Amino acid sequence: MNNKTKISRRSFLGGLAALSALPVVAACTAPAPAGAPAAAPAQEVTTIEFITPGALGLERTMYENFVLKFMDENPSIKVNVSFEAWNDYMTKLPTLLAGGVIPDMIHQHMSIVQDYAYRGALADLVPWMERDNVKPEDYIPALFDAFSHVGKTYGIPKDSAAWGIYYNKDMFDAAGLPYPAGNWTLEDFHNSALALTLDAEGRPATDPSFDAGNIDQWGFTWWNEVTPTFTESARGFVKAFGGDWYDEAYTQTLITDQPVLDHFQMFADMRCTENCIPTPAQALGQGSPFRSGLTAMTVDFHQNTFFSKQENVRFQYDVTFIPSGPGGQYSVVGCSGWAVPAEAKFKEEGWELVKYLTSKPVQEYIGQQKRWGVSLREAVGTIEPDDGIPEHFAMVHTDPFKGESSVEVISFKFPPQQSRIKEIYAEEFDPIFTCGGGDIATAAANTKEQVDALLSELNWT
Amino acid sequence: MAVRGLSKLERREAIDGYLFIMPWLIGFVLWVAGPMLASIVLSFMEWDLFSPPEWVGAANFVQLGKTDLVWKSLWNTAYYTFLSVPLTLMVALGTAMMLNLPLRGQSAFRTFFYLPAVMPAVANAVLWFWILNPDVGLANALLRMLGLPESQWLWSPTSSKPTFVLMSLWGIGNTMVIFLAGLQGIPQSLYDAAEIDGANGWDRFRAVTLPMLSPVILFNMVLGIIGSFQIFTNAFLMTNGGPQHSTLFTVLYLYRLGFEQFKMGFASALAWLLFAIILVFTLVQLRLSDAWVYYEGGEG
Repeated sequence: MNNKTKISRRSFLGGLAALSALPVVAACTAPAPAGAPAAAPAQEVTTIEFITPGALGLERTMYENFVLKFMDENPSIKVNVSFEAWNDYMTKLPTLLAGGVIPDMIHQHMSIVQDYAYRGALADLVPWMERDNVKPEDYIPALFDAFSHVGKTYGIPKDSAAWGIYYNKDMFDAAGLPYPAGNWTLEDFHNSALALTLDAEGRPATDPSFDAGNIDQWGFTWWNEVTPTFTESARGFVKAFGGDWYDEAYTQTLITDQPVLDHFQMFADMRCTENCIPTPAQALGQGSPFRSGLTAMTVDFHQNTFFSKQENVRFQYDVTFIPSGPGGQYSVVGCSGWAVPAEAKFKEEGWELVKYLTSKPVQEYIGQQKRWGVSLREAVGTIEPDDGIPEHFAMVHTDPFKGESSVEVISFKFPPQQSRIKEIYAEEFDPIFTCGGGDIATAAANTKEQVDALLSELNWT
Repeated sequence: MAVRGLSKLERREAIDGYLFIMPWLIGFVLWVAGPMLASIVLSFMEWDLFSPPEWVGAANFVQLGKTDLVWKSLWNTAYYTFLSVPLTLMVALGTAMMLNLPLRGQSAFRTFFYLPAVMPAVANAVLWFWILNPDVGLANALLRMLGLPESQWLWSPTSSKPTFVLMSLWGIGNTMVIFLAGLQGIPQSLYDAAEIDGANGWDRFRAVTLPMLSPVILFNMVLGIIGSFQIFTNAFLMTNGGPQHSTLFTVLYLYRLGFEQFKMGFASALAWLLFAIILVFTLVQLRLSDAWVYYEGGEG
């Protein structure tokens, strides 16, 4: 890669356009249409472009109404919204940014925001935050960790997802187990999962005659995760074991540290030798394994309450914290946020929309739908269920954000190049977590070597 | 100009023809040929979409050779292609022949067999998840009934690619319809003559059906290979390349490189490598077709 020649963005895009136009010129002999349309007369109204995933249902309707209200309150700003399906958004957003058709306000999930920021695609919001008195402490502060880096903030959290362990009370009752306490331990969790795994004859996984080829009920499952690797929800377990994914400066991963290896080992054993976690093959294609009654416990956030009610689950359930361990106990929270592209034409107006969508009335309205979490601390109580079910919803999903819990709230700053990191984990850990064999220490060492090299190459600190 | 020397009527017809194809031509040039040309340029650049691109010469192509996942994705794709295309052709031809029999309710059967080809990809994926679920799926239930060992299907690196090959049979509808049209174009007189000469069913298939259908077989084979080399949707929806990258097909990897890892130059180089492979295979097929394709008009 020597002798690299830098080309300006303008000349590059111009060149590409010209190149694309060449065949048109060759194919069409007709004269080109008369010159470009005359510039529109100056208008007092500024039109901004806003793109977000959320193409369907209540979310779309809700945001359409928010935008209408915003335009009512800000008559000098007109907002064009583009709602996209999640996967389409992930393709369309970089294409728009690369093509110079830059929206003025965009959605960013915490897992990609640092990647976009690293590439210079996002504006630092700190000057506006300071000017307009937008303070991280008014929101769930841990969420800002995921959106900030070396003094800059690239997005305002728009929602929150506090992870906890949902459990099926009926299954605990049937097994004669006490419900998990808030301060339960990793050992309690592990033992419960074993006791709650039953074969077709009703024998638990701890029974020597347990039939692993004929399991009717599993003890635990991850929500939408194939492996407990590199995610924010898994970080709660890793921290409880006393480890972490990265060092503070993000110069290296810590996954070869013993606590992290212990974390991997526990889940690998639970899946592959103790059979108390279904394989992806056993769990997929059946909706939520927890809500369909396949598993007694799952790690999930408040959405599980919403969907349990939507799906009218026929069992009693509750939620508690991710278990404690030698490293402590943690409430892990994830989120998405709103960001302003660095090259947006109307950054100021985009920022106004960010502020509006994270304002108290909007956040309260979102919370009242009970479907999405909120990021503003004053509004977090609105997501609590009116019927008081599950009983410990507030303890897990809102109290830690109100300062009414001793459990420490953490988030997770995903470093740039998540897709590549995911690939590395898949290469090394898939054999282990699909029970195809492999050694955890070797997988961790290989992963560390590659991820550390990537971090070093990124020079992100 | 090419139109010089044409009669007035011919010139008029040519102009009308070009006018009719103009909407397609403009679309093709703008949305296919243009971006293709642009991607050639990109393949010589390092570009993360957001920063200014850098000219890196052939570095991306050199890097292709050094990247394990490139080779893995090409192997996965070749495996899928060389198993699924012959299998699809055989099953589609067999089905088309059955649907060509003079039976009552044949139209309903034809519709029934074509239906999966028009099912949305996501619905297909959900359906297959259920069928292939190792515990409660139909596929393993069938194996259990037959006393055969069960499979992990999509969730094991050894069975995931064969499972994709199996699933490809679900989409034989289009190939089957083209075969059916070809079969209906074979004159009955040829079968009658063969029968008078004492040919049995196999002889008639070998000496009449296959040669007469050979241009259609070639057509379906070329399209099948091109399409199989571009397998993406099912892998994207169902396995996202796993487990252990065993279903990381080239186009899925290319998508990942371009839109998740923002290595647009490298992704473009991979796209052109794939294009070259497909082109070579297509040319080889066309060249080899001289030996086995029979054109009634005598071109073969």
